[in-house]
Amino acid sequence: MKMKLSVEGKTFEVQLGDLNAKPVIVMVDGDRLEVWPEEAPAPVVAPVEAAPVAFPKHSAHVPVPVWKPRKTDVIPGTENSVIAPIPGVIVDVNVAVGDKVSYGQVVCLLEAMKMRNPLRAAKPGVVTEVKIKPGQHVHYHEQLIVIVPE
Amino acid sequence: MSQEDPRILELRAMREKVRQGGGKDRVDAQHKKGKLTARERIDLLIDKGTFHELEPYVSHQGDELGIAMDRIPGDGVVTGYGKIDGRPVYLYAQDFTVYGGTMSDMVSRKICRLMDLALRNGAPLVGLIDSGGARIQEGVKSLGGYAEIFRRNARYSGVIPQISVMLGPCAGGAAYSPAITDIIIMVKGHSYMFLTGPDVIRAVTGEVVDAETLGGCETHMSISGTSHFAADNDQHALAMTRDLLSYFPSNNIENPPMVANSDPSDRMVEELNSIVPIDPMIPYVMHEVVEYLVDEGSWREFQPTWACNALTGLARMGGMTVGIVGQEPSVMAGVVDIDAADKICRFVRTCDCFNIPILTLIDSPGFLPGVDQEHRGIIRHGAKVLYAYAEASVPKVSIVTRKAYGGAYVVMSSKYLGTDVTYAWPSAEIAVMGAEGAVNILFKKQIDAAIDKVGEAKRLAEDYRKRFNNPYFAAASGYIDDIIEPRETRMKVIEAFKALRDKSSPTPPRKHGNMPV
Repeated sequence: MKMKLSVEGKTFEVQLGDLNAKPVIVMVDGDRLEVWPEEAPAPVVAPVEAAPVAFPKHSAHVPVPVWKPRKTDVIPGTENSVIAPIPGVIVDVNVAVGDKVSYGQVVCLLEAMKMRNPLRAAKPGVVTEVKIKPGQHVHYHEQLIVIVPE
Repeated sequence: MSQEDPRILELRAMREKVRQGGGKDRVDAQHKKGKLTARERIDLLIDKGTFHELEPYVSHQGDELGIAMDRIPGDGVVTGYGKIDGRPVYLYAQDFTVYGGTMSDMVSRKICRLMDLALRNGAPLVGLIDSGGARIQEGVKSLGGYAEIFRRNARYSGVIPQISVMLGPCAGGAAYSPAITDIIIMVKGHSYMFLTGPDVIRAVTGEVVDAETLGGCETHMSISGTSHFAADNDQHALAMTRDLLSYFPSNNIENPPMVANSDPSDRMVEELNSIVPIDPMIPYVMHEVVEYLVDEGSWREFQPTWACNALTGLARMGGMTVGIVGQEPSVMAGVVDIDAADKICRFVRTCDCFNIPILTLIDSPGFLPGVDQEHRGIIRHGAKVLYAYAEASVPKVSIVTRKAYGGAYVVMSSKYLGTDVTYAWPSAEIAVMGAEGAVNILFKKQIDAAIDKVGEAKRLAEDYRKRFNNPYFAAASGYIDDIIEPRETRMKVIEAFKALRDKSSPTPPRKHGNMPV
């Protein structure tokens, strides 16, 4: 295999020999070099020392848990939807069809249980359908907004 | 030098054979799957050099289906005792390299003997589970073996902490043993639990499902609520086990160990004074409150991805183990539903068994309304929370951070349910129901008679809010012990638990209560 390599402005003509041979013979501008490739790392054997455990430190910036319906509660065909976790009234819709949304982004506000609950996107994607408008009553587990993941 | 005694040489050879388990090929296969062998796992779990094996030469006695030809000492389980952080612990580790870790009569006898020893000596029991299931060749003997283990799991429950670490398959009835134990840790990717496997399900119902979807770590962490902790690999799971045991006493008579730390007990948590938004309709994150309150880095959340509208977990405060229960306003407004009730009830009882005081952070807007919840039995599920709190005799401290409405407040460790100390933040709202709903019932006639109905309802609701949407009305009637600044909470809670340390509240003599399940 022949190639031209440019290193810091200087061009070298490099010819590589059989890559499986040891050493690999490399010709650089007519000079013959022997290259000993590093041995492949030994196959990974289970380490015997305990790995340090990543427990959360005192951060207080806990990511807001994003509510997802249980798989058994999802009506087939609505896996990509934002679903009402509790029955209530929609007070605000923050996205429109065609909008890109990121994970955890608030897509609408649902007033229920004396609280304006922000409903969040469980996956990044594009909004393809908005089935709600402010003031609308929604049922438990009703499909509200469809987000197709990218 | 004299010749070594051949009998001693023979013993050494036998020991080496035992150590090799199912042989090199099977050990390699185990490693290839990213799993460790039973003995490697024990080395990681137990303080170095403290493990002592029992009954390593036991092998199966039957000769059904010609398996008598092939006897491997140990018979698929390693049992013994050792120390974790210097405290004694009994453990068994199923060895997948020997007959797939299957359950035989002798395996069961080994495990049962170990469980009996753990009970008699008041030390925790850890099971490292990696088993193909019942040893079919042994038929009913294997089933009997399971039953012997389950019986002990149940009878020793609440006497010694029992932890199940799922490091491989656990299928069929075998899954009931971990289910009875106090904590289940599952490893992502290669542990799974189910009663009927994918093949049976396909044959019976036609549903096509793989083992991971049916009963893998994620499934039990976020759908079924069976598992408490998820680990990335064997090492992580075993390190977690060591860590969790440091929160537990060795048995139900001891108190949990104190662990000194540098986080001052009287630390003023200034952040908490601004954590609850002025507008009661805007949620905040209760997990943050917990992180601020506890000793730095000590929070271990149980079931963090299931029933997230409730939070449960162990932490330390002033070096003491404390069980924390809370409601998460940022998920489903923090309502109590069936899953949240199950999660809270189980955790409260875990704490009560092992003398772990309970701190409850109340922001309870109500029970989840709906036909579905009522028909699925929110009454009996919600009743469990009530039952568990009322029954728990450990020190109990509650903080009302914001909403405390109706029955959902009563069940969450309200003062007259037997809570020892109840504090409220100035943001607390303690009432039977929300303002709008209440005035529509209380002043229906007055509103109907008014010319401006909406205006009248609003005025009355505002009036109601002024009276009830603060903790002073409840405090005046003695339903709250004190109203505190949020920043004082850590200090107040630690002092309360210190004052309650020697609490004695014996239950009336009885066989056991009859908790609704």
